[in-house]
Amino acid sequence: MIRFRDVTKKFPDETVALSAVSLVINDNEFVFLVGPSGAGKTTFLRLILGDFSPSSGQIEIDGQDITKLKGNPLVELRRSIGFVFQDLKLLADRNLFENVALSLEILGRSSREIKKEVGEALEKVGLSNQMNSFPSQMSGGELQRVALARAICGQPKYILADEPTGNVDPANAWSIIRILEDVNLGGTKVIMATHNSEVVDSLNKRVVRIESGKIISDQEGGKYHVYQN
Amino acid sequence: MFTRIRRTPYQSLLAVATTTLSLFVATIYFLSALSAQQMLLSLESRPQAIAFIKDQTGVEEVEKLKSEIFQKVTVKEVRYLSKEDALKKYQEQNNSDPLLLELVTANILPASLEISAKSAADLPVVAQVMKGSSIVSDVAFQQEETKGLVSWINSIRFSGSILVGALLVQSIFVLLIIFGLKIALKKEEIGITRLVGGSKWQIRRPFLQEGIFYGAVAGIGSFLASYYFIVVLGINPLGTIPALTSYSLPFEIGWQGLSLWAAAEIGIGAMLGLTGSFLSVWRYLKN
Repeated sequence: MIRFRDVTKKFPDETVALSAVSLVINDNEFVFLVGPSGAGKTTFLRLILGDFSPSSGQIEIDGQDITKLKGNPLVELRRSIGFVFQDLKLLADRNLFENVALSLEILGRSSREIKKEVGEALEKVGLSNQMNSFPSQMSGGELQRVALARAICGQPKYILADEPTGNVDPANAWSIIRILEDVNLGGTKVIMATHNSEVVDSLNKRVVRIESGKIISDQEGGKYHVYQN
Repeated sequence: MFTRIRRTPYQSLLAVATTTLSLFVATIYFLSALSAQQMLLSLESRPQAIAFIKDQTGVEEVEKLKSEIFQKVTVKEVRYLSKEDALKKYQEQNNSDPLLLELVTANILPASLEISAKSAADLPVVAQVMKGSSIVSDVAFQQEETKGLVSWINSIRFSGSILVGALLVQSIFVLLIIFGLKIALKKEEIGITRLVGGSKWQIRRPFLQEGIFYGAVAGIGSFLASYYFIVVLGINPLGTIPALTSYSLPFEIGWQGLSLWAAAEIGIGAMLGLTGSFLSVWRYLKN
């Protein structure tokens, strides 16, 4: 379970990204985070990853306060999370296989296990025949799928996806969503920040709307209503 | 690791070449200094002062002089050679010339005390004691030769230490710069590795492995170059010093000696590489 208690994040330039956010995400949930650009969705996800600490408030994951985590406990937390970054964060000088293998190398898997798991992940995202290609040789949609493959490798407890369908055509977007649904059915919690109203409206999942750093609605089976006051 | 090296070949080549050069010069200087030291040890192990004893001197008086020397100086050995011992030694040295052997008898050769000091620096005191003795007719020294060599060796040691130290430090600086560049190129990768759960050790490890690899390769290169320079070509940079015209290494040029030499070069190279890469990553992660 992930619990936010009165979490506020203020950046050094005085921008308030999140303001007194309280929220509980239960096990096995699939949650959409929606809201306009700059609303605080990415900050919300990166706080869970421990990329930075909140200015005030508390974030608990499975009962553990993660706001002051450092060193090995922080490393362990990050290993339990598969993150699809908005800017993908793929390594230009590594081929597709090596990019996906990164998270497994960090988990200390053997070469044989890495080969097997990367193969499976790439099969899932439909890129198993492009293992040796480099990011510069791939389209935006393919790169999104590589980032997703890296996130789902190693069976993380949580998948945090920041606009994973941002730059892809509808067919690719739906294939990404199907993979995330599939992973969620396997017991992984999925939190996905998105602007894709079609996806949100079709899936009938929990939808949390953030605007100006505040949660303005939180509905089970919610819909995407951008700019609704 | 090999993929990383292959993808930045010029940096890798520069790191290996600089370290090889530094290790090579350091090896030549170190082995030359070691050879000079060996030469000095062998010179110091020979009798450095011989006191010729006057005829009709009693054994007690010789013993008294011996104890006086032992009391005043830390000597390695004081050996008494009677007239008969002197004749025997003379005969051994001239056994190829029967004419010389015929002319000499024990009576015309003086008895003597042969003194080996522990350090050439003690010789002036030995000289003083012996010259002051009434039973000594004459004193023969190797003092000047030894003194000259000691001064040469001291200056070789001093300048060599500075040069070797400076070269090794310079290698570390070059490695720091090269690894600094590598880290700058890998900044994004380090950031991503952190975000997906990489520990500090996992971030450090590839750089340290690379540093050790460069150092070890440089060690092999330096060993091969210095072996060719010293053993095959037989070039001795200290050869202009008369007593040091040839190398006198403290080990045999057999497989054991060579293995030890190669292992030392590889080990020192690896340590240099490790130090350079460790300092670079440590500095980056600290900031």
